[in-house]
Amino acid sequence: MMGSDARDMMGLPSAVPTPKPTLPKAPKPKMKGGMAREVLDLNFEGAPPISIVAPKFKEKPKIPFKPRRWEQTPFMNSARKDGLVLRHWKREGDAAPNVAGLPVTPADSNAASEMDTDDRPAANIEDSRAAKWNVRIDRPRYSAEEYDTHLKNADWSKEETDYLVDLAIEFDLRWVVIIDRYDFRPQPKSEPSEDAMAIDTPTPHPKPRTMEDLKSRYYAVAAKCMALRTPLSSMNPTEFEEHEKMTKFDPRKETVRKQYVEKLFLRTPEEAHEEELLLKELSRIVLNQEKLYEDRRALYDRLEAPRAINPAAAHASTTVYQSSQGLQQLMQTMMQSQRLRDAEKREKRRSALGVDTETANSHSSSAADLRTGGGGGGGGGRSSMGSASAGGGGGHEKRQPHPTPQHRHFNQAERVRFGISYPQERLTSGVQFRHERVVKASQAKSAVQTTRINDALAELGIPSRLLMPTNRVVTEYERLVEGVKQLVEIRKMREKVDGEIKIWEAQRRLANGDGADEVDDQTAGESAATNAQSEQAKDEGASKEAEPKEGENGEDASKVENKEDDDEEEADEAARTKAEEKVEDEDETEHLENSRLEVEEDVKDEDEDGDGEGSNASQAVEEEDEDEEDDDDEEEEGEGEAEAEAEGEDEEQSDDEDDDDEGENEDERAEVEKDGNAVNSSENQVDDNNEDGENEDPEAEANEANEPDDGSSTRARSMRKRSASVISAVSNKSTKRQKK
Amino acid sequence: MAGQATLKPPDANEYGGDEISALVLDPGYSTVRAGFAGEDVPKSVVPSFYASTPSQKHIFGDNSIHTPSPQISINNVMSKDGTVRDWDTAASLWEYAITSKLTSNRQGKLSTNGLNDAENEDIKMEDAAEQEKPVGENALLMTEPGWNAGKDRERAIEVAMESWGTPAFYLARNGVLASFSAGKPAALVIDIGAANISISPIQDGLLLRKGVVRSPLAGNFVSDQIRLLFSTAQPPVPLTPHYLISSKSAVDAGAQAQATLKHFPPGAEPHPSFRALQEDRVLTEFKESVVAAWPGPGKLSGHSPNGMTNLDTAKSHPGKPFEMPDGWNQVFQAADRYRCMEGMFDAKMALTDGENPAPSQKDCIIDLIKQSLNSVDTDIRAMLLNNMVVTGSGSLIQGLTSRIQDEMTAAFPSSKIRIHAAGSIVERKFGSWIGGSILASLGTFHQMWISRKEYEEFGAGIVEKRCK
Repeated sequence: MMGSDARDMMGLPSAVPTPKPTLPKAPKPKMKGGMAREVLDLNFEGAPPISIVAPKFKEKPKIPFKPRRWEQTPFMNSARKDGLVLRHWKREGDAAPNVAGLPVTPADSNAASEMDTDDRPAANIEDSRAAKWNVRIDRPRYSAEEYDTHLKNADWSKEETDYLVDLAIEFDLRWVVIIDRYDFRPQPKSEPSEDAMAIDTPTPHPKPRTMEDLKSRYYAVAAKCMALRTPLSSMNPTEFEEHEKMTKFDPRKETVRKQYVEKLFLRTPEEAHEEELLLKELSRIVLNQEKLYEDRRALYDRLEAPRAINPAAAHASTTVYQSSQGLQQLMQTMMQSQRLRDAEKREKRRSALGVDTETANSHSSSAADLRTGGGGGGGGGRSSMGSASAGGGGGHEKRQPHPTPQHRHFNQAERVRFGISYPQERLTSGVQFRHERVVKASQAKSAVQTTRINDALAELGIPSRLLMPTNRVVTEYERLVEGVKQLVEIRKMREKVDGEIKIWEAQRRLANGDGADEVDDQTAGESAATNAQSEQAKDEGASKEAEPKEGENGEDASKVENKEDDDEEEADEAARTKAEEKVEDEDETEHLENSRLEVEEDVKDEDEDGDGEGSNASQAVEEEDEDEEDDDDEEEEGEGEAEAEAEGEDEEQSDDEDDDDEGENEDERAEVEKDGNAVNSSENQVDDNNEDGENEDPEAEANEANEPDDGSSTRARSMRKRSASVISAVSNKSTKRQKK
Repeated sequence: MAGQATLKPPDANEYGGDEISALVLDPGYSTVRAGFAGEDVPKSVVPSFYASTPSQKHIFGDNSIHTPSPQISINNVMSKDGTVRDWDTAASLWEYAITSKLTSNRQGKLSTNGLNDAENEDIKMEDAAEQEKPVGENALLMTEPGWNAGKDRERAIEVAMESWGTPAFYLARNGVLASFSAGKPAALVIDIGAANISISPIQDGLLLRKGVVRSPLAGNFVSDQIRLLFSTAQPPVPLTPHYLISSKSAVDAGAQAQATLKHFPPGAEPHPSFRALQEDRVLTEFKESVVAAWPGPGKLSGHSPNGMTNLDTAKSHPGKPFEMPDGWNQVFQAADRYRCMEGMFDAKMALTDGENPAPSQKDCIIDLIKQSLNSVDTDIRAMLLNNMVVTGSGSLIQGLTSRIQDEMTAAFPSSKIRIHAAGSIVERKFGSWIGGSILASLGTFHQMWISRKEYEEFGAGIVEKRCK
């Protein structure tokens, strides 16, 4: 009874189950107005039901083990020699695995047993678990004799060496620390101490040592000691490696490296930045270079470069051909192999014919050296080589040490065979294709010319793209086109000149007849002074003025030639072409003056033609031009058009010249003559449908108008001079013509 | 025993500690720190200043030296260069630091200590003296500055072994310990203390002695600069220490202080050194709350890129108010706040007068670091710059660490400069003590202790041999 009361008071659960929960139960909520609690809760949010928890003490944790005490346990450290006993906290009964530590074995710790004054049995003291980290490096050991025989060094005394080795071991070869602590003070010789005091012998001055000095000395000593203990032959790989490292230490290299490190350390940020940039650039270049090499290699693989036979070049593979020199070599090798085969054939033929084989031998011997590994002519080449060595012993010796290709001379047939030429003129670099030459040949300066040339070629039945453009064919083609060009050019000139002549004639007529005023107005463009066709004239701005006059003069001019229409058209054409030429030459001076000069020049040319050799001397014109013009004249003549009779003389002469020039090639000449006809006929065509020419007019004029006035004044001046003389000559000529 | 040695390094998760309740004692110019190894703060921090009563009695501890007892004079056991000036007093001061809070003078059992025994008095007294040795049961790790002289080191072990009866002793360089506290075995430690700035290059836990440089431009120098600033200000700033104030009332900024001063009867005043110490306390407060390092760029005497002088720029920086113990208060302009510090970096900017000559530029921090680096091997310079540790209470001045970082980056543009400065004030203040605490609790350190037996065998000279 008492017990349960006490329990109740303390709030402890009773030993006997009692109706205890009723006791601390909260008073039941009273019914309000007879309503049930649940109903009441609907209206009033009643207090939550109170959980009834009997207060009780926290339960004791149930631990599965018995608590153990901590106690201060003494322990030792086997890394110590003096047996110092320290204490640390350990759980009672946590037996250390290495109880009965090693240090207290009687062998190595007599000191420890002495020290252990307390009666604790030393054998029971635990060893520190950190003792196992006590690692020392092996000290190079040497006796005094060994030092004298192997390790003597003029720079190092034995004392200092000992000191160094001690220090190195003490600091575990941490050289940074060793050099910091290195403080060797040589002891003065200590035998007569009083004397030394008296005389005051200078103590040897300590030598200043760098870290490299210390390292090299220590490594030398250690390596020697190592080799003395274990001969090199019986060292295991790691030992040997270590030995090698020590013997190969180079203090100078190390010093240089330190200098570099110092420089690196003292870099300015700009330098650092620059270096970074350079490194980036370098890596980029290296990357690109690899790509470049790869591309090149792919290209050479595709070219099926023959394997070089000499072993030196064999391993180099395609890298040999990566330079232009290499490429040349490659080409020569290929050619040589071809030549080899060729020479074999020839030799066979010759031997069959009984011809002297000496030249063939010399060829084949050099060819044999450079024989490629293609294997095609391998067997035959050997036989020819045999004959070569039989033929000339001197060449045999030379050839062996120098297998490099020698320059050789090809005869005419070979040149043709291999397409080799020895051009005298300077060649542009790079590859040139023949079809380019073909296209280039048929291009004239002006589009009209080009179409004319093409027309001529078409008439001759020569395709614009040659079927088989061999060297010879192309050469011939070029000559042909050149001839056509000349013809076209000359015709153009002639037309111009004719036009001029007519102008002058008209002027003279006017001067003689009605009035000179109209003539003064006229410029070069009005070469068609006598032209009655208005539609042509309206294209030429200046010719408009002349137009009414022309109409009048049409009848006045009693001596107007039959082919007047043709002529004037041609003259127009010529003027336009001239304009185009000028555009190209960029020699334009002032517009009006130039047009005048043009006329004068043209007239002068005409004059040359007319006067023949006589006027040549006075005019600074190249002979070639004359020739061309002569040619032209000749063909014009052949064409059967009305022409000045005076040129008749020239005809014969130029014919002769032509013969001389083209004597060696009869066919060519014939062709050219044919061309001449063709050109003329095509010219006729052009004349007939002169819309073509007209269509180009605006362009030409536009070009002329756009032409800047920056032409050289010197040139203008010289032209003016020339024109002065020409005008007089022309006037003479025109009078001559007039007489005719 | 060598059979147990292993070349395998310890596992990362292997706990290297093995605590033997060693004591760590870290004396400095301002305070002595003492505590048990393995703890993170020293339990006992005692001023290195001590008070001498007219009866030539030395009393230690904060309460003693800050109480204006009659004719009390204040002295320091340490000299200005960080070494011990007065070994006898220092030994008792340190003993006080250890015994007051860490250990106690153990009393033997009254029945057995023989003190009450009339016969055999002499022998029993000796036994009692043996038992009363303050650290008779604990190994003791003491710190020393890198430039400590050999005789001071020997004296230290003598004190520890003879008068304190420690079973094992070790003398460690505080630079090395500071780098340990930063978790670095190799570092360039910049220790800014009260009396000295010292630069110690550390490689593999070993001090590179030739690289140790120091200069006096540390905390006390800044205090002197503040004094000069106060005296040259217009009007001069009054500096009245706390102990002189009996009551004060609030005044406006810059107004005359309205405080009632204490009056000591003639002959009962403390010695002027007491006032100096108390003034220094006020200055320390000022240092902590007002002084800041010029945040850069460049030096305070330099020019900013837009052509203004940095002094002009500093005028636009916010000032900081400070109230003196007597109630005088003022907002100190930023230029003044920076100026007190600038002498540590730029000798030209130091305030001078007859007693305080201008320092030389080679004593300034950055130049010190350069000197130190130049005297160590080229190979480790970059590593050292990448592992700089700033420690010491003096480094707590606002903005000092970042200023050092900036100046170092400018001085060594091609190297990576990384400064480790502990974030918490405690770690910065007690850096070398914490390092000692770490070191002395390591299991591998047990073999480094100089045992009593070794000391008895080789004498005090062993400290040179063992504590490298």
